[in-house]
Amino acid sequence: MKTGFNFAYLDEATKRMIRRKILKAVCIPGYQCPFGGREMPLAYGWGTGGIQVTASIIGKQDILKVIDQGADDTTNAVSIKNFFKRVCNIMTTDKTAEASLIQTRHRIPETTLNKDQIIVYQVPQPEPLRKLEPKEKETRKLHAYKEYALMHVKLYEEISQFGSVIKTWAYPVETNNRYITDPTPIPKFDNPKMNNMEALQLFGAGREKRIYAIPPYTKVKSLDFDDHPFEIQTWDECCSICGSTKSYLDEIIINNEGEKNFICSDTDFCKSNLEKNK
Amino acid sequence: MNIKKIMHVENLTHFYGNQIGCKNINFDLYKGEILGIVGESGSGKSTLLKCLSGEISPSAGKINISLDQGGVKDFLSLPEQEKRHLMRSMWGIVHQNPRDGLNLRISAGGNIAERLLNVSEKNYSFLRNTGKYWMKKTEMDPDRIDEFPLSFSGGMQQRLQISKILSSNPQIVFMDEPTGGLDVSVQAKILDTIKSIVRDINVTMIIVTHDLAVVRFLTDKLLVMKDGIIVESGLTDRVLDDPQHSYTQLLTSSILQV
Amino acid sequence: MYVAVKGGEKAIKSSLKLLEKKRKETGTKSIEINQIKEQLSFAVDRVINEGSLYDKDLSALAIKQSQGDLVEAIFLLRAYRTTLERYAYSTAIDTSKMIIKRRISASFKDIPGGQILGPTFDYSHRLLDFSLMKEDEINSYQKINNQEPKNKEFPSVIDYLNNENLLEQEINNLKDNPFDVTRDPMKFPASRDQWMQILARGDEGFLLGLSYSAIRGFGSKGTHPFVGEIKYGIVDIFISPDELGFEICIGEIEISECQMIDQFAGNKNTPPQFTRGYGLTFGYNERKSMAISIVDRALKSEGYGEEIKFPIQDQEFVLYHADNVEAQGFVTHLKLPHYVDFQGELNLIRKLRNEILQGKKL
Repeated sequence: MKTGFNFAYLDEATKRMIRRKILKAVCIPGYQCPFGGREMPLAYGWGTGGIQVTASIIGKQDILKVIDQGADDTTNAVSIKNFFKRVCNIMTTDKTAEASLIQTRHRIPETTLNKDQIIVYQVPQPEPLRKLEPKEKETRKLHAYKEYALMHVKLYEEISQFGSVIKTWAYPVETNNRYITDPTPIPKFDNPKMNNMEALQLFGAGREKRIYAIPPYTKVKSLDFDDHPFEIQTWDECCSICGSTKSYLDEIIINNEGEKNFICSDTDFCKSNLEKNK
Repeated sequence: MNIKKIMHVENLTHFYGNQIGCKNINFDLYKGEILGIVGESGSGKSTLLKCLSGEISPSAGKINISLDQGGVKDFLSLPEQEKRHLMRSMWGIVHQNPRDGLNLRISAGGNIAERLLNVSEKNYSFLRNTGKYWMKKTEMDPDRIDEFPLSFSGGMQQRLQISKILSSNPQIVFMDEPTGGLDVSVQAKILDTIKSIVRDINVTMIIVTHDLAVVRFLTDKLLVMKDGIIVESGLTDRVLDDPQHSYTQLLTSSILQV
Repeated sequence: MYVAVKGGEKAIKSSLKLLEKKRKETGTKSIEINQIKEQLSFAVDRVINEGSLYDKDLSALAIKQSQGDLVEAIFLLRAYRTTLERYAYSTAIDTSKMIIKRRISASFKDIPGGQILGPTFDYSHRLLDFSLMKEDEINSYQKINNQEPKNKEFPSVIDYLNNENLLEQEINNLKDNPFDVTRDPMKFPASRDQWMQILARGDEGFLLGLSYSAIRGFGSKGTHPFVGEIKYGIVDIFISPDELGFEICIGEIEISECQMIDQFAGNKNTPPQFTRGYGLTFGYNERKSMAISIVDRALKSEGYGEEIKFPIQDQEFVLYHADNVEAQGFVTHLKLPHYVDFQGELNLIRKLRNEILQGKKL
């Protein structure tokens, strides 16, 4: 009975298949490439796509950082990091600046990434048009023919009903002037970071079996109208730990009276910022 | 004055299995012309319309189109993407049942905006103003721009459908029994609206109907169809006042002239 | 000053310990794998089907490890399957050569070979048997006479209908190897080999619900399927290695098979025939094989040109949602932290409410 595992769990043939798909994805920025996703020891919906992408490109020299909601310490990030420690025995880190490979769920680190880094996003639903058109057969055509009126009409409807676009996360973007892409459920606050990023951005959806990519220095534009331009969130408060006014803040309820505190969602950034300010 | 030929149809034929839909249809359509296609149900007029508008792929024949962008194109051999683009922007189909031509899940304004967004309109105010403009033009209340199609009456839905199509400045408009299923008084009003718009914007139209009063009122030229073929054609007034073919004579004699 | 909460790693370790404790808390005797295999065989058979791996020992292990959560056990087996190498593909199994343990037909009163009930709950009365609460030795069961079916010949009921051309033919028109969802992503419209694989691995409850909906009216017109033949028994598995150039038998498996006969298709030009649905499962999984055969027939609707009106006929609806490993993952992932996005929603709803309550015009 088989008891050992290949480096990074996946067998070499599977890794090769996934790497080929990644190359294809890099050549067509924002286009969703179907791939033969494998069943993983973690549940679908819990990061299997990101894990398969990471497992296919990780090497012995890599230093891995895994975050969820911006924090290294949330349970699923810890679980995924432990998985890779177990099947790869590579070094891991909490410091964004030290990592060569970052797997993330729902946030882009505040620290600007550089050209020697790769960021792998966990994707629940790769198809940005899915809520508007449930059929895969149809959405493939819409992407192929660049017929995106459905999406733009949705934005129009929201503005006419609410005065502005109300999507605050997974805010759709146009990649390289061609494909409309789902940036994953990152807050729209993070969207501008995707534009012209120096690092390679890879996206893995395990359950839906799609891989897509945004190569370095690619134009990524959040959808909007000329007279209703895209805007990111702002806070009146600052981080109560490090004092930052430039990062995404989490709201924490601190007592029974409902009093709130706001702190940086990106734990590594918060720590470094605090040290810098001392 | 050099009037441009906008569509040339040659030997257009479509079969449903062994049954003839339409056969050996030949005609030309000129810019600014309103062409009527009449016949009873089963005459093949709806099939012909669907072939011309791209909704179905005919079994045989040719359709050459010549649009403002220049050049003559063989419509039937265009790649899928170009065909779709053409159908979404350069021409429009007004369906007999407005619910077939409207997206019921978006507002009136959204429906009108959809056509413009297909050609990458980027300005929200422009979309909104265009919506209100066309609603006014088709005699709808522009303040109802955010309401959903189901909250409108049948006649209003039809006007909305027409607004939607005309808003993107199409070069050809196909109408399939545009007033069928509506009350007589509502019909008359809509025909008036169509007539005044048509005068205004010089659009080219093909109207399919069984109703001779509609063609008399709106069309310049007429094709009469029976059992899938054209039995007579010519200027509307001439065909209706002086029908040559026995079938046309039958049609015109059995209709009370309004 | 607020201090950020830490300890995700410790929490995980503790939760895993608590899980172990749950199983061993009252110090009962550890269940043996053989006990699960023999006395909970239906659970074992469900797990080998949806886990997509015919190994009853591993299935029993998975059930033990998952403490009886069958969906969890199925997940364990699937994850293990991923790591296995593939040596060969078997040739198609021949169910006509099955060693019959059970075989019935609802379409005819009597059939050559007879109606063999076999071991089934069908005619048991669903009364709790309290004598099972304290059972002494298992191997003192009452000996049954005539355990083996007398007849060795069981001509297929389906063949009988085929001879008169009354039933649509099953045609093998596969050009390449059958589709494999564990290797390639699904495509639509789906080919029959694609959907048969998805259904075989699919969740029994989901397929049962769908087939129930179809026969109650949420299916193609006049759906009243008839069971042509249901079989349960043992078949041989053959492979044909290139090095040998002939077939060799590498073992045997238990399977359940259902041939469903459904309403006819045809028009005034083509004579009508009965249509069919087919269901095949590992082990003794009869209920599911019946459900699969009804869903199989419904998914053919598109190919027959029938009007697609109901979920069971909708290929994307059925095939995207049949897998319980995917379903449970995505549904339960909602437990994961989503507070960053929720923050966005909180901000938005506060802003919108403010605007309206202050009478701000849109």
